[in-house]
Amino acid sequence: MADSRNRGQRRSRRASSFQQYKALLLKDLRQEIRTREMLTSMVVYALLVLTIYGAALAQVGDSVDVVALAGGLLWALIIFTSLLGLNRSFSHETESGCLEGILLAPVDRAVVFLAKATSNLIFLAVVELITVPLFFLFFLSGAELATTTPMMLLPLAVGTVGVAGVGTLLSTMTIDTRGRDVLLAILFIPVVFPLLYACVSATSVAFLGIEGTFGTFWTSLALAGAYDVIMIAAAWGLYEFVVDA
Amino acid sequence: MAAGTGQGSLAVDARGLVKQFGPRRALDGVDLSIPSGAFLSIFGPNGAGKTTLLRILALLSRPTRGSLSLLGTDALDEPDALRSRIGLISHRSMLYGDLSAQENLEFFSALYHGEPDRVRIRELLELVELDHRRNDPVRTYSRGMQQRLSIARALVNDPELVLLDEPYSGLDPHAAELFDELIGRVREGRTFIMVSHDLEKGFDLCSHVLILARGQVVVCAEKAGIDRAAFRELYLATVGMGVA
Amino acid sequence: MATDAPARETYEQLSVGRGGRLERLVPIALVLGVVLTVIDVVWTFTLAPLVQGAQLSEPVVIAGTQVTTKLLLSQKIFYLHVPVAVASFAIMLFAAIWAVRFLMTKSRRFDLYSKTSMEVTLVFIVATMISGDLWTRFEWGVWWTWEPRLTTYFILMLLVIGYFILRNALDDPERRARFSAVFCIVAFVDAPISFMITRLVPSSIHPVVFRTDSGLPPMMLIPFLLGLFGMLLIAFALTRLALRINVDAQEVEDLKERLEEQDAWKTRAAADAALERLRADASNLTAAAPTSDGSASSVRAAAASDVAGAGGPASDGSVDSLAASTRDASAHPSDLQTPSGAAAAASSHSHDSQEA
Repeated sequence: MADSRNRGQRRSRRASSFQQYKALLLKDLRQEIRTREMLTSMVVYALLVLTIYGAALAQVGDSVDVVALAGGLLWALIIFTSLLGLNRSFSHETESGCLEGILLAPVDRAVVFLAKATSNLIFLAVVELITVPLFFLFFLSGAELATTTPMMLLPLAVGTVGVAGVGTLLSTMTIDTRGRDVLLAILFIPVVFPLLYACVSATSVAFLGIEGTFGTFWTSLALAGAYDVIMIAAAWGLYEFVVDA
Repeated sequence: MAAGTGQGSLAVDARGLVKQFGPRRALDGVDLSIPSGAFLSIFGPNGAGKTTLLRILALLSRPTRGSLSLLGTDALDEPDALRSRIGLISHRSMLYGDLSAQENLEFFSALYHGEPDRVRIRELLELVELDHRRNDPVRTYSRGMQQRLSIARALVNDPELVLLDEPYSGLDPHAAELFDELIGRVREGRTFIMVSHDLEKGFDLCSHVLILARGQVVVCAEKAGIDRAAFRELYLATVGMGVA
Repeated sequence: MATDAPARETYEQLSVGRGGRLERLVPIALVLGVVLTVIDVVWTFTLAPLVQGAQLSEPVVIAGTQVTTKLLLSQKIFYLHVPVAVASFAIMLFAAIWAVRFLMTKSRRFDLYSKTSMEVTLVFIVATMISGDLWTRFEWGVWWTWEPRLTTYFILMLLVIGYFILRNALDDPERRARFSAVFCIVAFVDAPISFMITRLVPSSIHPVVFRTDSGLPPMMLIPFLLGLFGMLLIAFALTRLALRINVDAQEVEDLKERLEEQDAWKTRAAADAALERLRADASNLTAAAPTSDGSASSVRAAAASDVAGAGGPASDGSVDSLAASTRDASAHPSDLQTPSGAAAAASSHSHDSQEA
């Protein structure tokens, strides 16, 4: 078995960063398809949050314009749900030391970050695909929706990218700590606050669809985009220090 | 790539390794010269710096000071060039429980080679006698089978230097014996470095011994010519003194 | 003040240039800062004119009160509030710089500096929050409003508190230092973005309250600048003092750790001597020819019978007997060459299982 004869040949094939990225991402997807742990728990949790919204809004009846609130409610749902998912996203990696196994290989640490952020983004997108229509069904089915409502997809996309990027960095830091669930929330919510603020603003404008407010929409969207760029660049650069001793 | 793999060259050449944070020194000036093809067993009390040393050799941690060259390459300057030539078997399996043996190996192989090396994976699965269960999720394996698979995992990149971190913990005597036998089969052409609390096993397998205490080398020598009982006494004396 | 020689980082090197020029400036800075701030406050209430609510960019009604046209006595707080806020951010800048330096050098003192700066930052942020909140109460008649600056400082406060919670949640000092440095940088980058976004995203409920382009008349500008300069001096002095205290505390901790280490050994010298004796034994060992195979295999047999028991609980007594055997071993190196027999083997194995 000591086949050193083809050792040189084998070693000449060095993996490119893209191949490693693909391998890491496919591994996450395959694992999730097999267990569906993250997706199931996130969707169920989102349903529970919607139920709570139902109780919270039960007494106001028609006296409150739900459409004006909807942007905020939707983003609260997304933030809480993604917190749950982010907490779980590293549980497979630390369970039997797999993260260490990855770090043993000649993989650029930024690639590890990017792959994890991408898989988190995909899972969040899938969960949103299910919960956002449910949100509309539960709370906005009776309301008159503005024609601009579909534009809420833009802040939704920009916001989810930022949540996945920042969340991946922070959940890597909290994974091995005492009381990691709470700690992630404590770190994540203030850091993601500006993004949340901008996305709620853009989403609300899209929902209300009032003439002349679309300057706000684009400003908010641009700011959310700027947040994504800056924070993901920071997370990318700092990731190495989080995983390497 | 052939640098440092020839006969008589050094697999590990460390000078004055220090790992320190605050006043506590996990390693306090460790010098090591291990020839290629050797099997080094590292002994020492808890907190002597064994695991720290192994993590530095695995390039998972950088020494605070000192120089380190592995397989003829400077490990502090070019860690990425070296990573594909080093493997680590730990007491943690480093395997994904929900993926099958085949998928696990394909994943780790792809990290090293880009595309999974299926020929090599089949050879390895046959070697560790798990090819009949290659498609079962690793979660369903016994501890011993997982440890065998983790040998295969550590060998996907055909490493020249293999590190073992307490590989026996959690193994029953039979599984440990199987493990030894497997290590014996992949022994040729590789340098092994093992950290173990098991004095008997560590002493039986090795060609070189190293005792660490308080981050310092007590003895680093070839096993040949060392009396076993006397070595045991020395080990016990070290464990007793290694409170710090 | 901080030389970044990667050399042996002993506790002496933690010190922040004690007795250096900067150190001597600290009391002067503190006194000067306090004097300037006092002048600022006196000036504020005697010479600076009252401000019309027209400082606001547009007529605003908050909590049912038209706040645009009042003469604002509460505006006086501006002369203290803004310098405190600026100072808090200035110290956080230093915390972030030290965090970057820590990640570059992995030298523990930068972690200590960064942590200390964050502590002072927290104090200043809380002061900012309190003064700002008092202001909103008197100005607008509400205790809280999600106005950009208030919001930013609220978020900043949460970030700094999060920083300390993160520190507390990590046990390994090296990892604690690394992660908190990373989070410090993230928080520092996040805070200005937070301000920009809350400021630039127009909210339907709250107006932009301050016009930043409004020039201040000299009677207002001078006390403001005095206050700003004074507060920065105070911040500098407080940071230096806190650094000194924290460095001293760390040194005491380090010394305690060293003492504990030595207590276990009575003296460091004894420890080193023991290590030397072990080394001497080791060289004897490698020099000695192998003894008869019989004695070695008998030891192996004795040990093998113990393998099955590995993993069971070990009694405390075995540790004591081990310590005793240690002393014997180091006291009589000549005894080393004789096989010890089953008793020693058994004790070794109970120890193994304890460590496992």
